[in-house]
Formats: sequence, structure tokens, C-alpha cells
Amino acid sequence: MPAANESPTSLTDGEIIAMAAYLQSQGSNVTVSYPGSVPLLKAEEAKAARGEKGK
Amino acid sequence: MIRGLIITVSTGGVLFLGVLGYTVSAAVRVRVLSPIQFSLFFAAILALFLLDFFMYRGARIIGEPRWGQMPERSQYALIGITVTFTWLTMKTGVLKLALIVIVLNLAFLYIGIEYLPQSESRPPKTIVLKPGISQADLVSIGEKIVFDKGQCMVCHSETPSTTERAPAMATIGAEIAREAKERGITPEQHLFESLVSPVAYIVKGFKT
Ligand code: HEC
Repeated sequence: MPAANESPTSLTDGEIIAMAAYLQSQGSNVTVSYPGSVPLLKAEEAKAARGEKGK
Repeated sequence: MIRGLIITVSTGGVLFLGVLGYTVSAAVRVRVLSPIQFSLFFAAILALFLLDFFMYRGARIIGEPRWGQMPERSQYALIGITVTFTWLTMKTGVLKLALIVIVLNLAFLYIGIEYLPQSESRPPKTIVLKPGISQADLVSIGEKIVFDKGQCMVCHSETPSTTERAPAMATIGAEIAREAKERGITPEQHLFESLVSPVAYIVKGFKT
């Protein structure tokens, strides 16, 4: 699927966190918060920009 | 027929006088030729107007004028008029004329902007969150984004079934929690990674 923070979706950090909260609410506990989750999201975005593969 | 004659005569006259302007002194140009040019121009407009007026008197209206739509030749003519004016003005050097041209152009611009239908674009609004927003609000805002601006439902299905295209939305939270545990990372990390770096981890059964 296309990355949510890039074109064509181009969501902001806040929007991505809100979306993540909704996704978690679908069958699990919501653990993300705003602005609490911003650093983690930023870290993942930076990793994505560097092109790192997940483990 | 008569219209063609009027247009030809007036245009020819204006152009002839314009060219003539090159050959005579500035004073003559300003005092004698430009007024004639202008009267010719306005006389032609007036004549055409009167002609139309009598011709169309009592005519049935068969269609609304379509504002904002212009045949191409009219567009060329419009631009041509301004160019001609500006050009002749440069020659005659009358500031007043330049002013008239500018005012006319602004008037057209105003009409164009104020009265003609415009196409409008409505890019999706950026949603700004208040710091410290409650989780319930976060979830409901997120739901809107998923279903609207994020376009996620193009691929993900709302029903609990995972489709060929993408994992099901209805159980995605549970899936994420399970996969995160499997990978030994927090659900947040797994989730954010899925969203900003989709190729980093691929759900079993999907290719990219
Ligand atoms: C082009 C189709 C497409 C669109 C649009 C799309 N997705 Fe996906 N999504 C997929 C596919 C295919 C997968 C499974 C492959 C993978 O893990 O990357 C997936 C996986 C996911 C996962 C990981 C699920 C898991 O169990 O790890 C999440 C979370 C997700 N999508 C959320 C979203 C959100 C939120 C949006 C809207 C911004 C979205 N998707 C838009 C196709 C799409």
C-alpha cells in the first residue's frame, strides 16, 4: 500500500496518529496519543526515508 | 454583410491612421489622428450595436447567453484589441490612452472574476489536532480520515474478511497487536511503520 505520509495521501503527523488510534480501536487497545506519539512516528518516518528494512 | 462592412471600414481606418501616425509629427498625431481613431472605433461599436438592436428586435430568445464561454476567435479579437491599442498608444505616446487601456483591462478582469462562473478546487482540509486530545476524539477523527481523506477503503474492506487486496479494517487493531508481539516490538512502532514504510513489513499472504 502507499505510504500515508507521502503523496498521494500526504497526511500530517497528527492525522496519521489519529488514524493509528482508529486502527488500534478495531480489535485492540488504543495506545497512541497526541502529541505523545509524535517522536515515535517521526523516528519511523526517518527510518523509512533512509530506506531501512524492518526486522 | 453590413456588419462586415462596418468592421472592415473602421478597422481599416484605425490601422491606416495608425500607420499614418508614423509619418507625421507627434503633435498632429496626438491632436488630430487619435481622436479620429477613437471616434471611428466607437462609431463602429455604436453602429454595430444599433444594427443588432434593430435586427434582433422582436426576435425570440432561443438560448441563454453562456457567460464564461467564448469562441476562440473572440478571445483572439479581445487580445488583439488590447495589443492594437497599446501599440498605437506607444506610437502616439498619450498617457491617457495607456490609462484607458489599463482601466479597460482591469474592468474585463473584474467582470471575469466577479461575474463569470469559476472552477473551484477543494483540496481536502488538513486536520489540526489539539495537544492532549482525548483518545475517544483521536479515534473518531482517525475514523473520518480512514474513510475519507486517507482513501484507505479503496483497498481495505470494512467487513471482517481480509480481501485479496488488503487486510480487513474491522480486525486490523488485533492483527497489528498480534504481529507486533510476533516481531517483539510495540504495537505503536509496528503500526507507524506499516503506515509510513509499507514495504518494511509485509503481512503474510501479501506481496507488496
Ligand atoms: C493500494 C491499496 C491500499 C491502500 C489505499 C491502503 N492500503 Fe493498507 N494495506 C494494503 C495492503 C496490500 C496491505 C498488506 C501488505 C502490507 O503489509 O504492506 C496493507 C496493510 C496495511 C496495514 C498493516 C496491517 C498489519 O496487519 O500489519 C495497515 C495498518 C494499513 N494497511 C492501514 C492502511 C491505512 C490507514 C490506509 C489509508 C491511509 C491504507 N492502509 C491504505 C493496501 C492498501
